[in-house]
Amino acid sequence: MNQVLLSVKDLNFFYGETQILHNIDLDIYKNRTTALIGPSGCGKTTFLRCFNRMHDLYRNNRYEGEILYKGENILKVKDLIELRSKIGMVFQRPTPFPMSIFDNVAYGLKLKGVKDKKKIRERVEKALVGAALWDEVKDKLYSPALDLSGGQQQRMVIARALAVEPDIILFDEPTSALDPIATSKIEELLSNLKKITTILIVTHNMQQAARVSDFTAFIYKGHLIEFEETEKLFTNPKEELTERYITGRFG
Amino acid sequence: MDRVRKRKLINKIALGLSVFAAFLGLFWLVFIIVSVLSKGFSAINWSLFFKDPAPPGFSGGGLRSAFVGQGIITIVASLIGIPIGIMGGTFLAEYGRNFKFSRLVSDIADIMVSLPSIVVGTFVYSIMVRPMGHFSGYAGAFALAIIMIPTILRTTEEMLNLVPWELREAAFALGAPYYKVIKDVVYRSAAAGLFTGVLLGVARVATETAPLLFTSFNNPFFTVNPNQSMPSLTVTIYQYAMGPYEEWHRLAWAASFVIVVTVLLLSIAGRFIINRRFSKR
Ligand SMILES: Nc1ncnc2c1ncn2[C@@H]1O[C@H](COP(=O)(O)OP(=O)(O)O)[C@@H](O)[C@H]1O
Ligand SMILES: [Mg+2]
Repeated sequence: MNQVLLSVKDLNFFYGETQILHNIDLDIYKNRTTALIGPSGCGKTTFLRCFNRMHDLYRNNRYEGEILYKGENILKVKDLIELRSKIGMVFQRPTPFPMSIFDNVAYGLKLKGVKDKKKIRERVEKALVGAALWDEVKDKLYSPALDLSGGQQQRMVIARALAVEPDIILFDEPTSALDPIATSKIEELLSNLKKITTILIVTHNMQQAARVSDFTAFIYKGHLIEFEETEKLFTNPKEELTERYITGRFG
Repeated sequence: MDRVRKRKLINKIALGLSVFAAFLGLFWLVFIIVSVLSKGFSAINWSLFFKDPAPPGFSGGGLRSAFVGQGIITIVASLIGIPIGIMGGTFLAEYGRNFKFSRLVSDIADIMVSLPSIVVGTFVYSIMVRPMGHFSGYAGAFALAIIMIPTILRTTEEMLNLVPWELREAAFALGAPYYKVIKDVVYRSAAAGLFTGVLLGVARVATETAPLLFTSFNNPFFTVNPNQSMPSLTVTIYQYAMGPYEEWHRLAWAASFVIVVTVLLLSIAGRFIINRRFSKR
């Protein structure tokens, strides 16, 4: 059964005076993968960054509407540290911190104040196993994360997000900086991850959306055009705009 | 066809001139370093470091007091200058990056980097030495700190700006508060650059004479009390080089040798660290 984890209600977003997102309504289902597709510049990244309030880092950004999560509106939450430990994020390019692999993965736990060494070790191992990286790094946990390959770095970053056991992980084009082999490893990983968490992924690549997601949202110029089960959206779109986009007949 | 020949000719002339200018600069640099090294090296011996100056005209003295004084002044200056420089640079690159005020501070620091250091000397003379009524090592250290701060501030700002924003955002996305993002991620990423900035800042003030002439001045006696006038290598070199005694000239060469070698090593270490930092990924 599909259980709603997050519910976006009438979301508008502004960079200063410029409105980027318009009246978006969307449910994100628990333990499912939801893909966001749409032409570049349509507001996918902007949308994704509302969920963990990333826009708060910069001045003059404004949200309107609600993102309901466990009965609370994320857009009004005060404790961003707690929120961000529940809602993880993985960026386009790998973002390893200049420290060891172990310290990278343990970073979120330390932020949460976990002191118990044994518990940290267990969680780090579990996260690395979850990110399909354990076998490759178990003998060099204390060497610099920067020495890993790009694909390994990206999986380590996923492990870092997993270590705090988030309810959802937001991915912003996580494979666009990787080669095809590293990409297919990440895609395989994504398919397994939804057993333990929920995934919201932006992708510029429609084949990828079709391969990894259960639901797909098509966004165009800041409007949600269509939200549907992935299979239906790609085989039988309701909107003409969607059809034109997925068949590559655009503009 | 003719245009091409003309262009090639101009190119050759420009190349020739710039090579000539480079050699001219290099010649004097090498000339200075070689003469300091050759004249200074022969004057190096143990008593240079372990004996205080002999009375004028007598031989066999050393510059222990000046080495110790220079050390104390430089350390006190670093204790003031490094934290302020790093914190100021951090403010400019991080917390205050969107303020117009920060751009202004940054521009002023740029100007201060090229401020003649004698101006700093007279400034400290008027705000410290005059009110206190005497020269002091503290005043010297303060003057050197003022010179050190803009250098470290600007390198810190630049080095922190080189750290990609995505990396900070990744730490924020895990729930880190800003000060932890800076401490754990930004400083670590920029560590080599920050260290180099500090090295170069310290190396720069270690060679200053003018700001010390009006502040710590000089002291013929050994002292570790920065509240008195204090001897330093640079001022001692200045006085001994001007003095009439052969022995003084010898000591001045020896002290110059030590300074040149120290600064050379610091700068090479700095360059080396920076290069390694940037050749890696
Ligand atoms: N910080 C910002 N300030 C102002 N406008 C921005 C900012 N970031 C993105 N935009 C604009 O918002 C729109 C959506 O951008 P984005 O969400 O990055 O699109 P996508 O991820 O779908 O390619 C674009 O027109 C972009 O120019
Ligand atoms: Mg984007």
